[in-house]
Amino acid sequence: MPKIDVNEKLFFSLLGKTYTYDELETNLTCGKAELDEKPDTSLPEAERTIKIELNDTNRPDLWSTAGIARQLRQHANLPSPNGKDANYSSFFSTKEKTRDCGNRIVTVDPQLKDIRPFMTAFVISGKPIDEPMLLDIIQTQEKLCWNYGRKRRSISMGIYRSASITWPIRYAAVNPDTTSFVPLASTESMTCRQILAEHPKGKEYGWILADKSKYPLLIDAKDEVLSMAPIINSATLGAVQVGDTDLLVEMTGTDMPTLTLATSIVACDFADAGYSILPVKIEHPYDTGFGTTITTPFYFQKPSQASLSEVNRILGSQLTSDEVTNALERMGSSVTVSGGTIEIRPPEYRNDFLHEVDVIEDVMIGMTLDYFTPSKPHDFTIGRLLPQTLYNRKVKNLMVGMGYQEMIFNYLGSGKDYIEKMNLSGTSLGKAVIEISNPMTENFQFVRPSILPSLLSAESVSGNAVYPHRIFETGKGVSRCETENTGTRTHDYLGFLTAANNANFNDLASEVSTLLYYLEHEYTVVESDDPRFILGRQASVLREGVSVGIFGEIHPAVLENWDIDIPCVAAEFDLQLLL
Amino acid sequence: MSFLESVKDKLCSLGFEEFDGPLVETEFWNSDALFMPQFHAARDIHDVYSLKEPTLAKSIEEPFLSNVAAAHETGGNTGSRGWNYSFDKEFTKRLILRSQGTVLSAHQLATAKVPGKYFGIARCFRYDKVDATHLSDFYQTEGIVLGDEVNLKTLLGFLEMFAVEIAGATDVKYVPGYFPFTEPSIEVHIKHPVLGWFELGGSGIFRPEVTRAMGIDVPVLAWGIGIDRMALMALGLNDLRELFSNDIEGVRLRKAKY
Repeated sequence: MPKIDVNEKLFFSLLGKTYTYDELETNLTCGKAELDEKPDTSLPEAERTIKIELNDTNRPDLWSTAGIARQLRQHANLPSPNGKDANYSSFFSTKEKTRDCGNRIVTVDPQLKDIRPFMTAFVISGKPIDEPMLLDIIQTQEKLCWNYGRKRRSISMGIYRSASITWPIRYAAVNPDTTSFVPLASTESMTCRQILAEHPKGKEYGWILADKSKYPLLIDAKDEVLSMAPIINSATLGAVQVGDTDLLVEMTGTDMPTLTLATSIVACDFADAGYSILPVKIEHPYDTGFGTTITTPFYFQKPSQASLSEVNRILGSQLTSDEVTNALERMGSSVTVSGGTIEIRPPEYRNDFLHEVDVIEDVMIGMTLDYFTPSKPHDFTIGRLLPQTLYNRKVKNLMVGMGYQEMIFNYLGSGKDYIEKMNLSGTSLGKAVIEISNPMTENFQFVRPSILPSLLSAESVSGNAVYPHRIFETGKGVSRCETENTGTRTHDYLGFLTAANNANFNDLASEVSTLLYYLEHEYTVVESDDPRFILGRQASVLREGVSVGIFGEIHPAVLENWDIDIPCVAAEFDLQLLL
Repeated sequence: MSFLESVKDKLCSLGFEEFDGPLVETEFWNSDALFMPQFHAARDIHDVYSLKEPTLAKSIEEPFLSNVAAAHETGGNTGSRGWNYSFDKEFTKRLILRSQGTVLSAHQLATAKVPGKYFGIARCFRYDKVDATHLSDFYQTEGIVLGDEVNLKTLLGFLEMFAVEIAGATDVKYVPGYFPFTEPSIEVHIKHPVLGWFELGGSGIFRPEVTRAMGIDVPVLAWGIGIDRMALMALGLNDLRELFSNDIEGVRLRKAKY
C-alpha cells in the first residue's frame, strides 16, 4: 500500500484547518489512511513531513497531499481551498462538451498503436510552482505511475516548462538508433537506444520498450525534444524547477481509462492548490475508447445507482434518502434521488464504483462508523470440529502419554534438507518433493514432503538438551500425486523421533503397536526398504493392503548428513489414511 | 499448538463449523474467485509462490469458472460493471501455495449451508523475507458467516465477540478497511489488559461478485484474525521465528503466560 510524505503546511492549508496529530489520525480513517509517522515537531511547520499510509488500492486519488486533504476536507464539510467553489467542471471536457484548447494540440503517430498508443495532457498556469508543490507532484508521479500504472507500463507522466514549448506537439514513433537528445541529468546527447542501455532511468524502465522496433518521442513544433516516454525527459524542455510558471503535464500509456483517470486526479490536485487548468487536445489516429480526438482533462465516468432499501439492508440501518445523500456528498459524489433509487455521479477524480456495494460503503464512511452500533447475531448454527481434527487430538494425547514433546515446524525448507540429507537424491520419493519456481532463497525452495526431516533438523541442533529426546509433530506435508487435479496431495502426518544412546527398533515397534492399539486398527507389518532407514531394521504398516506408515532406525548415512552422532529411531504415519 | 486448539474450541462453541484444505491451490480459488483482478499488483510474481512442476491444474470446476470469468470481464450476473479486461483461463489454473486463508472460504461458498458459520486455521505462504515479524509460512484464522441477518451491524457484533471471547479484549475500535473481496470492509483494533492496543484482524461483507459467482444469494460476512501475533504475545515471545523453533530445549521450557 503506498506511503506518502506530506508537507504539513501545504496539507493543512489545503485542508483549511489544522488538526492535532491525534485528531488527524482519527480523521484519516475516512480515507482508509493511517498515520505512519508523526513529524519532528522541533522543525518549523513549513519543513515538517507527515508520513501517511494509504490502504485502498482503488483510490489512487488519495495518494497525494492534495488528494488526501480533499477527502478529509469534504468529509468534515469544510469549504474548498482558495475560497473557490470546488467545481472542476469548468476545465473538464465531456462527450457532450469540449473545452477550448487554444493552440495546445498534440498529434499522435499511427505507428504508436502497438508501442505506447495513448496520451493525455493539460497545462497548469496562474502562479509559479513552489517547492512543496513541486515535491508533491514528483511524489504523485512516482506513486501513480508505479502503483497504479504498473511500474510506468500503463501510465507514465512527464512535466515540462510550457512557456518554452512551441505548439503543436508531436507524439511520434522514432528510430532508436538515429534519434538523439540530451536526457535529464546528462550533458551529452545520446541516441534513444543508448539511453536505454546507459542512463539510470533507461536501465530501470527500458524493459517496457525492450522488444519495440521504434520508441515513443515527444517533440515540439521546432523539433525540440520534450521526452522519450516512459523513460526520461530531455534536459532542456524537461527540466522543471521551483519558480517555473506554466507547466505542461502529460501522460502516456497503454490503458486509456486508467490514463485518463490519473490525468484527472493530477488536474484536480493542482486546481485545489490554486492553479488554473488549461485543456489540451490530443488527436489520435485510432479510437482510444473515448473517441479519436480527445481534449483532456476528460470526464468519462458513468453514473452509479443504489437502492435505498439495499443500502439499509446491508448496513442494518434505517437511513432516509436525505441522510444517504449527505453521506455520499461527504465522500465527493453528487447525488440525485428519484423514488427509492439513489443516483450517484462520481467525482472527476474517482472511478471505483463497480457495484452497488461500493456506493454502500461510501455511505458507511460518510456516516462515520461510530454511527453503527454492533448488534448481536441471532442465527443458530451448530459448531463442529472436523473429524480429522478430533482424530489428530486423540493421536497427540497418546503421543504425550508416551512421553513425547510436541514441536511445530515450518512447511518450507531446502532441497538439501528434504532430499539430499535424507538419502533420497534420485529416488522416486525424492522426485515427488514439490519445488517452488520463485523461491526467495534456497532455504525455502521446497515444500516439505514429510515430517522426518523437520524432526532431524531439530535433533541436529539440540545437543545441549538432556537426553533422551522424544519429539513429535502432527502437521502437513505435500507430495506429487498424478490422480489429483492439482497434481499434488496434501497429507496430515504424525511424525515422531527418539534420539537416545539405546534407541532401537524393538522399543519403537512396541510404541507403534501401543499407538495402533489405542487407535483401534486392524493392520499388518511388513519389512520395507526405504533408503532413510537401516535395511532390516525398518517396517511398513499396512491397512487393507495400503501403506499407512513406516518406522525404523534411521540410516547412519542420514544421521551423518545431519551431523547427529546419537542413534535415532523414527516413525511417520498418514493420519488421513488412518482415520 | 494448544493455543491454536483452544481458539478452535472457542470458535466451535460460538457455532462455527471447521473447514480445511490442501496447501497447493490454484490462482482461481486463491485470488480470481475472490474478485482480485489478474492485473492487480498483489498478484505479481513477488507475492505468491508458484509451483515448478506441475505448473497448471488439470481443470477448474464449472459453473464456477465461467461465472468468475464473466464477473471479472463484465460483471456477469452479479450486478457489477466488472474489471473490463480479458480473463486468462490458463493463468487461472496456475498452481500456487495458498497465500491467504480466504481461499478456504471461497471453496466453502460452493457448498455452504444457509444460515451457516464456518472457520479454519490455515497455514499460508507469502513471498516475504524471513525476520522477526515475517515468516515463510504462517497461520491465518479465517471464516465466513452466511445468512439473511448478515449486515454491517452484525459484522461489528461478531468482531466484538471475537475480540472479547478469543482475544480477551477490554476495548474495541473499528476502522474502515480495504480488501479486494469485501465491501464494506472493517479493521478491528483491540485493547488487551496486558498487551495494549493492536490490530486483531480484518473483515467485511463479501462482494456479490464473489458470492453470486458461487451461487450464493444471501450476504456473507468474511473475517480473519491474526493468530500468530496473539500466540507470540500469549507465550511472551517477541520474534515470530521462535514459534517454529528447532531448539528442543527451548520448546521444552516454554510455558504459556495466559
